[in-house]
Parts: sequence; C-alpha cells; structure tokens
Amino acid sequence: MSLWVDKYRPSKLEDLEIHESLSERLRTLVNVLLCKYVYLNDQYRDAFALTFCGIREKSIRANLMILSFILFDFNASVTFLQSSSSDFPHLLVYGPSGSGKKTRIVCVLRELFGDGVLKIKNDVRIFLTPSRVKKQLVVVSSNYHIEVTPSDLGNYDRQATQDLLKDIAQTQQIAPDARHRFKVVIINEADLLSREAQASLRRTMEKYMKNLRIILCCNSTSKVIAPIRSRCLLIRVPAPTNDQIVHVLKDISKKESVNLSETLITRVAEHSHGNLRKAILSLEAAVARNETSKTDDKIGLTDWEAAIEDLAKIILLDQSQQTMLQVRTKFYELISACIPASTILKTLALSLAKRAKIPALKPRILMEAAFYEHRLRLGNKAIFHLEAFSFKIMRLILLFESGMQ
Amino acid sequence: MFSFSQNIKQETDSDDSVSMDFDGTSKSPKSRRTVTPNTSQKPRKRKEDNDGEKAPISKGKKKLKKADDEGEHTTAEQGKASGTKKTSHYFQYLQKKTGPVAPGSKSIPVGAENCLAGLTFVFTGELESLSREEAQDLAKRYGAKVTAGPSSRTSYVVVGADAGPKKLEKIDQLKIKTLTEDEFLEFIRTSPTRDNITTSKSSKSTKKAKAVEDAKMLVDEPVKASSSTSNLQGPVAQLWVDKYKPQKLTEVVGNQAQVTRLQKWLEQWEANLRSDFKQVDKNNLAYRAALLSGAPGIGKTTAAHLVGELQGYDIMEFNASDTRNKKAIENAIKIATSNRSIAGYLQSETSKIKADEKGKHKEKTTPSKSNKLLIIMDEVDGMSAGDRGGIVELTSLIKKTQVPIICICNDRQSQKLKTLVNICLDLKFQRPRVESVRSRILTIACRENVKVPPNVIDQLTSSARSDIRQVLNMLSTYFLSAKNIDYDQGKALSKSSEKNFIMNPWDVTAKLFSKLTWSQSSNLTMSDKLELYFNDYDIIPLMVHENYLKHNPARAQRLAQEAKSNVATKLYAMDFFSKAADSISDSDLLDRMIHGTQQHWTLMPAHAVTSCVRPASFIYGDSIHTGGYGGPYSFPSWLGQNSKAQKHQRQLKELHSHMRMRVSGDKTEVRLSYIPTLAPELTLPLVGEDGIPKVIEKMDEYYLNREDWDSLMELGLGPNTANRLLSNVSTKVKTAFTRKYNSTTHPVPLLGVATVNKAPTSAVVVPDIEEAAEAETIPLEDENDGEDEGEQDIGKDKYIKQKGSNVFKAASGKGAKSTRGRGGSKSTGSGRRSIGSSSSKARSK
Repeated sequence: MSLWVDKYRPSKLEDLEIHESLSERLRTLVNVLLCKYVYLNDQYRDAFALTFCGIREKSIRANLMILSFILFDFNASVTFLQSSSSDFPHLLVYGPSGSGKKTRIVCVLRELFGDGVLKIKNDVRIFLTPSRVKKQLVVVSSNYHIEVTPSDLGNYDRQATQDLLKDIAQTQQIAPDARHRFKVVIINEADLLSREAQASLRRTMEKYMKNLRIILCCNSTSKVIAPIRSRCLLIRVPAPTNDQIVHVLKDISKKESVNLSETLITRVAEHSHGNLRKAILSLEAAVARNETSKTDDKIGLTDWEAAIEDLAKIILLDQSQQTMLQVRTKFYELISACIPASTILKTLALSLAKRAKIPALKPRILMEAAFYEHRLRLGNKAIFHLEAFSFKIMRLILLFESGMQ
Repeated sequence: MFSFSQNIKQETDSDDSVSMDFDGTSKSPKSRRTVTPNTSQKPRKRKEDNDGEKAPISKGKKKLKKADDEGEHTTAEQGKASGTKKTSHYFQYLQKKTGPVAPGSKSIPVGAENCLAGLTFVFTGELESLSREEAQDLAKRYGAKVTAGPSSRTSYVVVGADAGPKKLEKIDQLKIKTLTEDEFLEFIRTSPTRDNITTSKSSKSTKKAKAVEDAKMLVDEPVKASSSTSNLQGPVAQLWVDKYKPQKLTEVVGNQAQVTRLQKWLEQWEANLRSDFKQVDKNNLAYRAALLSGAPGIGKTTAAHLVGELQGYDIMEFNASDTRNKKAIENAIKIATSNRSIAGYLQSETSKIKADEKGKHKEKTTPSKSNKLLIIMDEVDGMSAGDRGGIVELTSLIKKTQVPIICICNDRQSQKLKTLVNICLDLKFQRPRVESVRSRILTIACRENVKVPPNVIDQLTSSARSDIRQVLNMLSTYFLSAKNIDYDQGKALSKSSEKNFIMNPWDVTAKLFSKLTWSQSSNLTMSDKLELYFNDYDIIPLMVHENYLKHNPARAQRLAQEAKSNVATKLYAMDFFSKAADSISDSDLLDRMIHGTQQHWTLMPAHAVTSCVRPASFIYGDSIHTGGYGGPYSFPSWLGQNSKAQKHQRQLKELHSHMRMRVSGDKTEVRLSYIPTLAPELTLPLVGEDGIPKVIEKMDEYYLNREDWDSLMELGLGPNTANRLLSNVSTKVKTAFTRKYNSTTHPVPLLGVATVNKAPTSAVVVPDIEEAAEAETIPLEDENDGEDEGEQDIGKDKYIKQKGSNVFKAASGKGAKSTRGRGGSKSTGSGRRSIGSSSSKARSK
C-alpha cells in the first residue's frame, strides 16, 4: 500500500483537477500533433508575427513557439498538412515543487505514447569522467522515454548531458508499436545544471530534433540560460491555491474514508505553502500519528520546519554568546539532516519576520536574508553564511531594542 | 675574564651544565695533548662537584633572597624619591585604565652592564610603552632571567594593565615584589653593576662557583697554547664543528641515556648475534639494528660514529649523497660484508709487510680495529623517489645482517619508516636543554679565546632550537670579523639565521586571538599576522571559525566601559561577533574563487585577511573557556559535521534512487516531504509484532531495503529522530522485524542485474553501438554492487513469478526494446564478458 500521495496520483490529463485549462491546452498540443503539422495561412502568419514579434521576446524562435502554441486554440482557422516529422516541441516545465509538474509530464507522455510509458524501470548508467573517475547516474526509463537527473553528478553533469543525450539522439525509436518516431528525454532539476551542461544541450536540441524531444523540468527559469529557453515551449505550472489543496485533501479523505475536521485540513493546507505533495503527505502523517484531533500549532509541520521554528524562537529570545553557540549546533544539525541551506535560510527568515515584535525589524530581516541567500549560492560552506545571517539578526534585535542606531 | 666566569656562576643551579663544561674542556683533543696535569686534577673537581650538588638549591635560594632584599631596598628608595603610590593600589588603577598608551612614549634607560644579573623577572599584562618582547629583551640584556609564570624563585614581577587574575593571585600568595613599568625602567637606570655583589657572595658561599673558576683558569692555559698553534695554520683551518667534535661519550651534549643505551646495544651485539637475537634481558637490546631519530644538529651522527669508534668498529657510512636504491645497497653491503675478513686479513698482511720493511711503522697500524664492521645508514628518511625500494631492501637486509647497523633519521613518524621502526632498537634523541648547550659552547668559546656572554648563547641556542651545529657555525663565522659579541649583536645574528618552523594550528589560533598580538605596543606587522595563516591555510581558517565565538571581545569591553550600560556591553560584543561572522562569510566567497574552477590562487592573502586576521581583530580577548584538553581551543567541528552531512547526502541519494520508481519528486523533495511522513509510518506500527508485515509491505512498495530503513532513522530531526521514533519499539520486535525482513524476498529497484542470468537471449539483443562501447567500460565497483545484490536478484525473480509484477514483466519481456541503460549494470564478470562479446558481434554485423 503506497502513501496516499502516490496512490491517488492521476495519470491521465483529464483526471488532473488542478489547473484544468493548462491540462486542456496540453491535451490539444498533443492531439494537434497527431494531425502532424501545422500550416499557417499567410494572413494569420502576418497578423501573429506583428502581434508577437514586437511585444514579446526578441528571439524569432521563441516567437514561433509561442505562436504555434497559441494557434492550437485557433485550430479552426489553420490548415493541417500531413508531414513525416511530427512537431511536438521541446518543453520547459517550471513551477514550484508540489505543483504537479512531473505528474503533468507523465500524463502528457501517456497521451503521446499510450500506457507503455507507465512501465518504467530503473537502472544505473556509468560515466567515465576525463579524470578517469567513474560516476554513476540513476536513470528511469520506459520504452518511449528516459528520465535523468544530471545534476546528481555535480560538476560532471556535462558528461551526462553530452554522452547520454547523444546516445539516445543518434538512434531512432525502434519499437514497432510506437506512435511517434521520437523519444523523449526528461531532464530533472534543469535549473541546477551547470552552464557548461546547459550549453551542451543547445546544439543537441536542434540537431537531433528528428529523434529526440527534451522536457526540462525545473523550479525556476532564471537559472536556465536564454538559448535553452528560446528553444523550448515554456509551460508554467503554478502552485495550487489553498482552496484547491483543501479540495484535493477532502477528496482523498473521502476516498480513504477517514473523518477529518475542517480545521485540520485547512491548517495542513496552509502549512504546505502551495505544495500539494507536502499537504497530502503531512495529512497522512497526522493520521498515522493519530494527531487528527489535536489543535496543536505544530500539526502539519514537518520535522525540519519545527526545528527551524524552534531556532527562530531561540534567536528572538536571547542574544548572548551562549545562544550563538546553540544556534551553530542547530544549524549543523539541520545541514547534516540534508535540509538545503537556502531552505533553512528562507524558512528561518520567514519565521523570524513572523515572530519579530518590532515592526521595523521585519523588512530588515528579509533584506538580510536575501543578502545571505545570494552568498550561499556563491560560497561553499553554508554554515558560515547561516551563522553570519543569524548573528546579524541578533545584532539588529539588540540594536532596535536598545533604541540606539 | 673575570666577568666571564661571573656569568657562569649565575647558573650554578644546573649541575650538569657545570660538569659538562668540565668534561668538554678537559677532554678536547688539544688540551689532552698539551696539558698533562689536567687529567690528574679532574677527579678532584668531579668530587667537588658532587659535594656541591646537594647544596645548590638552598644556596640558590639564599642568593635570590638576598637579591630580593636588595631589590626591595632599591624600589623602596625609588618609591620615596618619586613619590608614587604604593604598588598594590596601583594594580587596580592600572586595570581601570583603558587601552595602552602609545608605544615608545618612554625613553629606554641605559643601565650599568649586568645590573640585573642574578635576578629573575616575570612579566604580566600589557605594559604602557614596551611590548612584552621588548621588555623581556631589556631584562635579558642586563643579565636577568625571564620566566613565564611567577614562582618562589621570582625576584620581581613587572605588572602591566589587564594582568592575568591567576598570576596576580599567585603573586599575592608568594609575596613577590611587583614593579610597574616606570619602576622597572627606573630600576635598570639606577641599579649598579652586580659584578661586585655576586662575586663577593660567591667567594663567601659556593664552593662550586669556585670550582668553575678554577676550571676556567685551567682551561685557559691550553687554549692559549692551542690557539697559538691554530694561528700558525691560519684563521680557520677547521670548522669549529669538526674541531670540537666530541671525542668521548661524555662529551656528547644531552641525550646521555640514549647514547649509553646505544653503547650497550653495540657491546652486546656480538653476544646477541650468537643467541640469534632472542629477547632475553629486560633491557630489550636484542635488535640487529638501531634507529636514532631526532631533530637535526643534536648529535645523532656524532653519537653513532663515536660509539662505533670507541668499540673498535670499522665504520661504513651511507648517506643521502650515495645512491641507495635496492641494488646499490645490496651490492655495497654484500661487498662490505663479504670483504670483511679479507680486508682485515689484507690489512694485517700489509702491516706485516710494512713491519718487515720498516719496523718503526708497525705501531701505527692497529689490526684489532679493522676486524669489525659497523654500517651507519644516515638520513634514512631521505630515501625516496630515486631510491625506490631502498627502505624495503634495508629492512630485509637488517633482518639477516651479520654486522650491526645504525640507521639515523629526522622524522620517525614518517610513513616510510614504519616497517623499519619495528625491527630496530628505537632511540629518540631530544633537543638538549639550553643550559647544557650553553656550557659546551662556553668551553669552545673559551678555547677559541673569544668572549661570548652567556645570555647571548642562550639567545642563539633558543633561536636555533638547540641545534648545536648551527650555533657553532653562526659563532665561528661571526668571529671571523669581530672579536666580541654583545646581546644586541647576538640577537641580530640569530635573527638573520632564524629557522622557519611551522607552528601548530592551536598555537596559531592562540596567537591570533591573544590580546598581546593586537595591543598597540605589539610589534607584529600585518604581514606577520598573514604569515600565521600561511602556517596551514587549510585548517587555520576553520580553527578561527570554530573558536571565534568563545571569546569575550576585549574591544567591546573597552567600549562598554566607556558607555557604562549593560545593554551596550551585549550590543558591542554582538556587533563585533556579527562583523567577524560577516568577514568569515566573505572569506568563503574568496575560498570558492580560489578552489573553484577559476583557481585564483593570488587571492590567498585576501583570504588570509578575511578568514583569520580580520575576525581575530574584532574579537581578540580572553577566552570564555579555560583549560581542557588542548587548551581553550577546540578542533574544527566543521570537518566532522561536513563528513556526516556528506554521508547523509549519500544515503539520501540511495534512498531516492530506490524510491524513484514511485516518487516523482527530486532528492530534496524526498527529504523535505516524504521522509517526515515515511519515517513514522515505518516505525510506529512496530509497537507490536503485528505491525511488522504492514511495515515491510510499505517498504516493498517503495523499494526500500533494510539499510534504507536505517538511513531513514538517521535523517530525521526532532520528533523524527531514531531515539524518539523507536522509543516504543522493543529490541525484541526490532530483531523480529530484521529477521522477518531478511527471511522474505523483496523487489529490487535496480533492474538489469537479473535479466542477465535469466535470459541468455539478451546476448542476442543488438545493443546500440554506443552502448557496446559503454559495456566495455563497466567499472569494478559496479561488479561488486552486482555481487552484493546477487542474492536479492534471485529473490526478485521469484517475486516476479509470484506476484507477476507488471513493471518487471514488461521490462524483461520487451528486453529487445529496453536495452537502453542495461549495459551499465551487468553484474558478474561472466555477464560482462558475454555482453562485451555480443556487442563486438553486433558491431561486426
């Protein structure tokens, strides 16, 4: 029996309850593709060219992409021509975690290839780095697609994007029952790819269009280089709203026939900050721990969130040398429990800002958090920056309390 | 001459120095030749020495007391004259004072020579115009002894601002007289030369001092004679080091115990050889070889040669100037050992022949000496690179040697010497004490007829870290151009040939955070402080980070005293801590630029400033922890925490790769969302044994194995830590759970391993060309992984049969199409080979 979150994961586009318009659009994208090729009437082409070239990005490639996507809604006015090559674009799916990116991608794949994509297997690829170090990369694949997380290789991610993609790209789909001649590669954590790795994608994406479609999946496009962005159709999957989450949670509790109070569900939804996965999981955790009747503030908080909350309380309570040493220990605990440093910083800053008594302090806390978050990205040793942040905050608290400037 | 012997007298406390002095002077080659009465007088003096041995401590005390009286007298006078406050009150006054007055504000007096002779000074706290070092120098220059902490022998304590409370307490206890800086300077200015005082005392009291003087007188005569002979040959016929090489074992400075042991070992060597080196006596000397280790210049080689010569061995020395690879050693030693008897034979033959021809020459050849051979392997830790196999060969040689071998090295801890240490008699030479070096050098100086004040020798010896060879070399070159040396010249001399030695991280950290480093009177320059970082630029930034929170910033205290508010104290301190933390944060950015892809090594000085110097400049001061192992500073916990974090990252990666089949999220999402739910789900049902199947079912669902279960426990925080999750789980249930898990079969997430065994048809599968290439580069680790999972694979196959899992069936059924990625995970060696051959077939097709 899997966890609810995996048990009730939809695998068809029409089953998706959140962002239905987006699902609809994706479905048309796939369906139109079945008609193979889009041909634009001269008059429409001019009209759209005028509209988009001026306004949106300067890149012609990107414009065409947007254009073609918009056109699916106007399919009545365009003529379809048969073509040997199907024209499903590369996708760049982005949005916060737990908003349903991956679920949606799988649904699209299913729409494209049929149920075969659900039969997946997991194996290990070995890469030989230039320094003769062997690196392993776990790969999930079906007959029609392959899913990799090259950023797992750290600095060697370029190896994965170069070798693996070319391997796949240079061969045709040989499954006789495949509906499309191309294979799909899903690249996870595309925003964590190094610049070199991203650059290596550029040419591959164009050159091997015949055999290969890439779906990039990431949290934010800001770290994806512009040439890649312009080659992909950007699909934003926004976080679900609180109401949507509540709706899903109620639905699940009905299916599981557990009786849950309204307050519990809303609290869990609130604590999830738009992360549906987290909401469902923490709901299940609460049920598993028999804490459904409790009205505790910590219900729906994960272990690490609770730990960071505690840390914020310590910082606000006392600003002595003893506290500083305590803070350091807590940071070490969090880091060694594999909580990403930027997550620690963000959660801590929000919690501090929420709890700070002096209003003038709040904006300062967020400002400092932004400053040190930047440093976290630039530096190596997270603890240095986290410490510097918390001591700065402690200093600010003392400063504001004493009324000195 | 008079003042010279006077200086020696100060050190009558150290007996060995005196006796060493003796031996050295009386037994040196030249004196032996020229002065015959010397040997007859020697025993008498020894005796006197021994007599004196019982007395010196009490006498020393007496003397100090007298000196104290005198000191008191002078200070009291001074106090009256200048009308200053009493010293006890002056402490508090000083403590309240903020910050040191600018350095160089007071003129440094010129006192009479040796005006502080026989007095012992202790300095504590920050002086107003002098840095600690300058003040100590001043005291030493006028012949005083400077010690670190106050004791009953201390004559005066010079107290500055912020003196250590413990020291003050002790001063009170022992009732030692204290001086302020002004008083100290005045004391120097007004004190008379102490020659008269001390000599009068010496004539009154110590027999020993008399003996010393006698010795000096005796030594003097031969010196004149020898120097006149050496003058004939020119100014430097021989280096001092060679000229005054010890000729007897007692002449070796320091390490007497080791030298005696070496001698005994060599004595017993023949006997031990006969008993085949069975450890019989408790002395534990039954080794075929000895290993002398210790710092350079402390007489290891000298001792080895001397011991060998005295016992009539022929010495064969190999050092770093010889090629010492396996073959060379083998050859040289083979020749040497096999030639031994013949050589002796030949020599005696020739001597016979010579004797026949010229009867007079007979006594010059000493046939007994050439019978035995001793091999000295000098500088064995230098055997490297070019001398491939040298140590190994040496080891095997030692194991079967028929002649004694003495190995000499500097660094006994070296990894290379590990095998050697076990089969050798281990003799560790220590640096000799300054006193013993001093007496030896004084003797030599005496014989060379040059005047070297003892405080200069002390200075040179301590700066050369007891390297006698270096001190002698320095002095001999110095006296080529000059006739005498004073304290300042000595200091300059030692400075110019100062040895660079690496400070350990603890000392560096202590120095960085010390108030003295940052006081205005400190003479450390910026580059001196940077130099501290370069002692070990990897660990010192971490040491600073680890320990910077454990101080009370002195600057904050100073500012707060001005502001006089409690909040301000906290705020000022916090301000400095925050600044220090910011600076460390800056340093990390630089570190990334240095160690990252760009490798900007030129940024290291900037890194030094931001990571060590700047943070230390903010928060130097007293440590909040005192004592403890390794002092108040602890080893960087970052290293441990980092490796722990990395281990957990690996576990998480493993976990994620297993759960990947079910879970859409990335690694981080697994940690942030799944683990908080999974951990309790996989532990809470274990209250009773009924829960076990439920847990196992859930684990199977996510392809988790027993190790993953353990790592889940490790990754939790707060209520999800193993302790709290498993508080209700009895060990009985836990073992039952493990047993149950191991007895049943489980699905394995990583595919490919099983299909190799199962379907030989997969060899027919035509893999992609690039996959064929990949199959050839399957690493070893992967094979191991495969073997580890071997058992589970069979289980997995069963599992598929039992349950008919659609996932696996699909994958294996469509093997032809799903070859992608399988190449990487072939398990066994045979499997790999078959794939390799199949792929080559594929290519040939």
